[in-house]
Order: sequence, then C-alpha cells, then structure tokens
Amino acid sequence: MNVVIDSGTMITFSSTCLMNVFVRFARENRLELIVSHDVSEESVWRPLSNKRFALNAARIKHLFNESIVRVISATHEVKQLEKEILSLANNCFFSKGKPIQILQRGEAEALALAKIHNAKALFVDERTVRSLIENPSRLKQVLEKRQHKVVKADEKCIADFRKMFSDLKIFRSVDIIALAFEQGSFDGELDKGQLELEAALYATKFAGCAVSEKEIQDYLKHLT
Amino acid sequence: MFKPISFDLEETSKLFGQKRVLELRGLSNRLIREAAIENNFGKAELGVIAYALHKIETKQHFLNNKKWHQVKVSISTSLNSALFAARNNNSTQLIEKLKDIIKSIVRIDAQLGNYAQGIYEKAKTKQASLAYSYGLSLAQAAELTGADKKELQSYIGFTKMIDEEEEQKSIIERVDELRNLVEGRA
Repeated sequence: MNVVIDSGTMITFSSTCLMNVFVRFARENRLELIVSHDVSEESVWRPLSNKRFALNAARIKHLFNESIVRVISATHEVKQLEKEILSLANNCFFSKGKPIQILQRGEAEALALAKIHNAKALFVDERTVRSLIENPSRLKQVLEKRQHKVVKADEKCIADFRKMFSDLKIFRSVDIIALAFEQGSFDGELDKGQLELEAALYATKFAGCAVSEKEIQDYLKHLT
Repeated sequence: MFKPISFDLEETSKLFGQKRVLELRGLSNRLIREAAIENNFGKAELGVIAYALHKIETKQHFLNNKKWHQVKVSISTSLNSALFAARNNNSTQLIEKLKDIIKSIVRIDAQLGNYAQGIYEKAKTKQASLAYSYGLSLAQAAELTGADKKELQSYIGFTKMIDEEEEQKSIIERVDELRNLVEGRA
C-alpha cells in the first residue's frame, strides 16, 4: 500500500527516537512509503550540513538508503498536478476580496504524489492540509477567529479540492504510534506498558505533532 | 487597511531609541499579525528585527557592554536609512538596510551572546509561531519569517496552541481507520 509521508512526520520520529518503532510498523504492515524530492531536500540534504540537525537528518537518510522510504522525483505530471492543487487550495478562502494562501509548494507536491501514485494515506503532523481535506469549514472558522476577519469561502473550489482527495486518509505520527503500540511494534525498543505508550504519545506532541492533551488522555482512558 | 511600512519603521526607530522594550515587542507582534494576514515579507522581517532588538535590550550583559552601544548607533542609522528608502518607495535600498541591521544583530550576538543558537534565529522561530497562531500553515509561517521548519515544529509542540483547536477526528477514530487500512478492510 502506497503512503506519502511528510517531512514533519519523519522529523517527529527521528527527533523522538521512535524511528525504530516506526520502521517496524511500516515493515510489518508492508507500507510503501514515498516522499517527494523536495521533502528529501528539506528533511535530509539541507539539515545534514547543520550540526544541530545533522543527526536527525542522518536517521532519515538511513530510511532512504534502506529503501524504507522511496524518494520520487517530480515528473512533469506531478508538477502539473501540483500547480492545479495550489490553484484550487489557494482560492478556497478569501479575506477582503483577496485569496488566502493555504498551501505551499511542498505540501501541494506531496498531495500530487499521493494522487498520482494512488496512495491510500498521507502521514502528516501539520494541521492545515488535514483541515482542508477533512473539514474546510473548521479551517475557515480558525482563520476567522485567529485573524479577527471575515473569511469568505468559495464552496466550488472547496468541493473540487475535497473531491480530488476523497479517498485519501490522513494520519499523524501520534496515530501511527498508537497503532504501533497495539500491534507490538514497541518490542525490543520499549516495554509494552501504559507508561511507555503515554510517554511516546506525548513525545510526538512535544515534537510538534498537532494533537491535543485531551485527545491523548481520551485515548489512554479508552484503552484502560 | 494596515499602516505602511514607513510608519512601522518610524515606530521601531523611536521605541528602540527610547528603550521602550515592551512596546517594541508589542509592535513586533502587530507587524507579524499584519504580515501573516497580508503575506507581507517586509513587515515580517521588520517584525523579527523588532523582536530581536527588544530581546537584546532586556539583556544586562549587552547593555553593560560598550560594543553594544556602538552597534546600537549603527542600527539606529540603518533604521533611519530604511525609513528614508521606504518613504521614497526604494524597496531595494529598504531590503538592503534591513539586511544590514540583521547582520549587525547576528555579529554582536556572536560576540556577546551566551547561547549557541543566536537571538535572531530564535526571534525568527518565536515570531513564526505567532504567525502560525494566526492560522498559517507550518510551512507558510516558517517561510514568512525565514525560520527553520524543524525548529518551528518543535517550538509549537511545546506551546498550548494545538490544545486550543478541536480536532475533526479523535486518535481512537484515526487508529481504527489506520488499522482497517493496513489490514485491508478499508
């Protein structure tokens, strides 16, 4: 099963020492992980030259070298679709008559890859792409609340965008770690206990995965 | 309609000169808000500069050092030159002067600062997180201030911003969906 993974999610795993858990999870579930060339640049090749981030980048490079994650070069088809996605996404919401830029090139490229390679899932820790696909009206509310401005939505653009990704499921590192725990992918790395699970879930949160404390607590309660 | 950048430069120059650090920080926050809404990179850069200057002006070891006072004069001159450029719609000179200020901050921080990560780098991340709080995506917020995306992701992880937003689906629902997908039931 093809899955596109965003740089943020790989960084979450590498910076929390949960990479081995993730690799085991990906192998056992036969996930064909793919990333765009841009994401490989952002998560490996650029940070490798920065001493502060080099170890995390080297961990992700190892994923590429071991073929756990495949780097896909942007073809003409990907570039074309990326443009289409950017144009749609960045014309979904307007403030004072001006379109609000929602997506960046890298995010659009990941979505284009997902579409072209028939990916069933997108692993992304960031909230904006997720909101745009799953709940655009919520995104509108967030923009209005945060920017204290009236935001108008182009319902047709939103519908076209959502239709494009109607089959794509979105997961965050916190969701992956939760299932990895259930499937026993912590073995050899951590004890299989509530404490370990809680610590791992919070580690993803503190590494920047968009998950609330309430969500984590609700999930832990659900397990007991 | 937001104020033009010439107004913001004048304010920055005045508040910095008069050591009104809290107001300088407030000005920086306003600039970032406006930059986030208008996708205005010039305002974002000035916002980060104002934040970094406010930060330096709260550090005793900078204030007690003669070198800082020399640099402060040079920064004030650059701010006035930037203001002149903005009033004359000379964007090339404006950018050049803002870059000069950044260089001065980075250089003096390398000499007097106590941390491996510089004040300007931290200011970029801090103010990018503010831009993120205005609804920008992580990538957009990082691009706006020039912050490192990894750094920003980690910084945001330690804030309560994420806790304020209600999620569409819970972990329980997503785990169920993921399980069904990997087991071929979806």
